[in-house]
Amino acid sequence: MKYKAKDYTRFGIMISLSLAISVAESWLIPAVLFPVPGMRLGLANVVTLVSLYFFGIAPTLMIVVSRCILTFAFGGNLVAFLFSLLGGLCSLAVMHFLISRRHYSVFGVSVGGAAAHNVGQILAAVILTRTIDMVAYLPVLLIVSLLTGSVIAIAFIPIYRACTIADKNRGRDLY
Amino acid sequence: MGQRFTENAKKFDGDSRGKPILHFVKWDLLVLGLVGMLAVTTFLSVYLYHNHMKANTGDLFAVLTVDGEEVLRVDLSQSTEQKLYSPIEGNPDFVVCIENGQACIEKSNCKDQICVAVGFLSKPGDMAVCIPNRAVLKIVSEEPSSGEKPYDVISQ
Repeated sequence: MKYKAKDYTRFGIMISLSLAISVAESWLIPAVLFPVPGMRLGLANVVTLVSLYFFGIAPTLMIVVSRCILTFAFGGNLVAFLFSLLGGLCSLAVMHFLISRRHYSVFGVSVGGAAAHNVGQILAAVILTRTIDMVAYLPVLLIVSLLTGSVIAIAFIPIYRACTIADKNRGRDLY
Repeated sequence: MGQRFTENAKKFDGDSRGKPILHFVKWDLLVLGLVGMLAVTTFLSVYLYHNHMKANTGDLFAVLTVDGEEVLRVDLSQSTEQKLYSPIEGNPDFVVCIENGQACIEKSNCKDQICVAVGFLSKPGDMAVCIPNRAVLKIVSEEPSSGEKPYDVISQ
């Protein structure tokens, strides 16, 4: 098999971490603070970034989809599920593309992911309300994603260092 | 054979991973620029569309759509006293209020209450969106003659 039990444990930890972070974020930063629906810091994106850099695309896809399904299972509604799923998949695709290009730093990858997340959410809103008017929110969300993406990248740097130190045996990789 | 498959899989996976660059590089400006450009283009198109709507000096209507289907249409020019509507069937908690040529979502049973926080809408193109109810309240302006006179300028 490609992955060992150790790896599956790590995937599980990643899922629970991203779940806990997104729940904690919705408690700490109430949605009322942001005038536009869907505007949030997206701290759970740190987990996606870490797992993209350490595990690659396939496990990360699994982690993101599991997180969406689990949030849905823990008292989320179907609407929020569609939002987070489309947003998560869009940002995952863009971040994977940017990482595989090699020459973008965490900042570029993170901002691209945050922007793609917002585009995915607007897409979900357009699909749900069947009106194109939701695009009016996109400029604000994109400008904010420049900021939140950078914040996520700054948060990622110490976490990445800690992960590599914790895994001295193999240097850059957790295997 | 099995061994080779594992190695190939590892090789592929190794390709998709990478050592992150932890400081800002100039390639990032490309991403930032693209995101900024997308923001500017969408803003401009929305702004122009909004202006186009405002240039329409017809009667104002408050229109509520659910799932893209129109469920309520009120002529705002004929509204003076307050009127309450609960246009969604089986959901009496979703209330639209029309008053003095303005419209708002008075009450909603959704969790975030973003649609209620928008407040009164009065200008064409203004809208309040309730994602949990999949409802969009929007002010539209319609020329009274449109539809009734399908002639072009020359024949008039």
